[in-house]
Amino acid sequence: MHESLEKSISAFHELEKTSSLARKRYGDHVSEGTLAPTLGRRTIARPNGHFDFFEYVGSSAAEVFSVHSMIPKAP
Amino acid sequence: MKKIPGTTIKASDLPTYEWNADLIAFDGPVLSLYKGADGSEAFYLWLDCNEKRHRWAVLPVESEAVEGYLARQYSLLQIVQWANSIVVFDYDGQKRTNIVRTSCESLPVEYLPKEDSFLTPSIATQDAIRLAHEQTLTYTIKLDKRMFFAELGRIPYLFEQLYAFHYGLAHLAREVVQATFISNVQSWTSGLRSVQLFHGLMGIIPSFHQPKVRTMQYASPGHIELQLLTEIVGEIYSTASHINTESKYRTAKRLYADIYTYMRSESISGFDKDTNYKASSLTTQQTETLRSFVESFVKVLGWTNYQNALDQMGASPLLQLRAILSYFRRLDELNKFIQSGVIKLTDPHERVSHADHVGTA
Repeated sequence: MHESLEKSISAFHELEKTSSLARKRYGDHVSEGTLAPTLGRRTIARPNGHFDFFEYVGSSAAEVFSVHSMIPKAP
Repeated sequence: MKKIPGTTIKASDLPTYEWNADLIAFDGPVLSLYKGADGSEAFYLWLDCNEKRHRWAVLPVESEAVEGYLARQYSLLQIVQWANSIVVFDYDGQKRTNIVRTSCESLPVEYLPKEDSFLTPSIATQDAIRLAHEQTLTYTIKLDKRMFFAELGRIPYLFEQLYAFHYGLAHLAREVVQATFISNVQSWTSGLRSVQLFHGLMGIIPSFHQPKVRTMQYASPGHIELQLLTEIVGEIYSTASHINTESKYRTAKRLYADIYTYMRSESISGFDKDTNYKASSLTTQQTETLRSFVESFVKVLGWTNYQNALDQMGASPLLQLRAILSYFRRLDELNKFIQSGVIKLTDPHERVSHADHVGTA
């Protein structure tokens, strides 16, 4: 997960330089959601905005996410 | 998935590599570094998938190429183009199929990385960033006096084992290091295991961080100049220097002897001999005594950062002690060469200003 939509899309574009078929593996849409502290624990984000999130037993972070848009092609 | 032109090979003919580190991961590895038992290295690159299988490429890589890729001097496309032979296989989570030996020219264009496929911080894993940022330097071991041919082999052997041990303690955050340390120490049942611990740790150090000879000269005096990790040689130097005064060396030797005396009196052995004493068989009192021995030895060796690392290993005090005493035996042997003037370890901190950065991923 990334802290912002922009950082997530930017990282995906960077990944596509290594794996042209990344969309085949991960899909071509990006989701957005707000994680509440009651859902679990997160790691500190790295400079690229990426962090890990560990859900508490019985909670589901997936439920707060919804598809935002198709990942645009890299400029 | 497209059929790849090339020579079909059997799964048993696949080159054998062990996972070392993920360099790019996105909910699973995309590019990983693997190491062979012979020290060779390969990149495993994710290429494609369908509902049932993932397709991977195995790219043999030279040490300089790995180092250059981590430092963002080379793109992944260059690494793929440099590979003399590429093995592509499909993996369904259980077995490898459709294994083909092919070449860069035969790969579909959509499998090739882009020209600007550099390992940027936005996709590099923590392991990749750590590997790229570790500082190396050119380090000199001075040689003097009369030297026997066998000693010329023994000194680098001991130095390399100390290097592997310190590398392990300093890199326990890396999954592969922790697994190697723990599996070797926890299954320790005889003196033979100590060799395997050092050998195992040496085997997981990426080749570009293993000590490499840059120059060697000997006509009494002489020197060996090595390229290695600044932090690790710093730990060897400070430990060797710490016990190199007569009183501290005597203290270390006495503590070592006291531990053995205690072991014999309590019928705990399994250090040098082929006996197996399980940590789980120890009484609470024995465990406490062994823990205090560990703390004392750590102090005697002048280690300020390692107690946490040793605890992190998840090994009992008995196993920690086994590892430390094995280390000390090697240090003690190297120290004899230092005391007799055959070798002199120079202070790496005096040369830090000349250190080379590996990279800036």
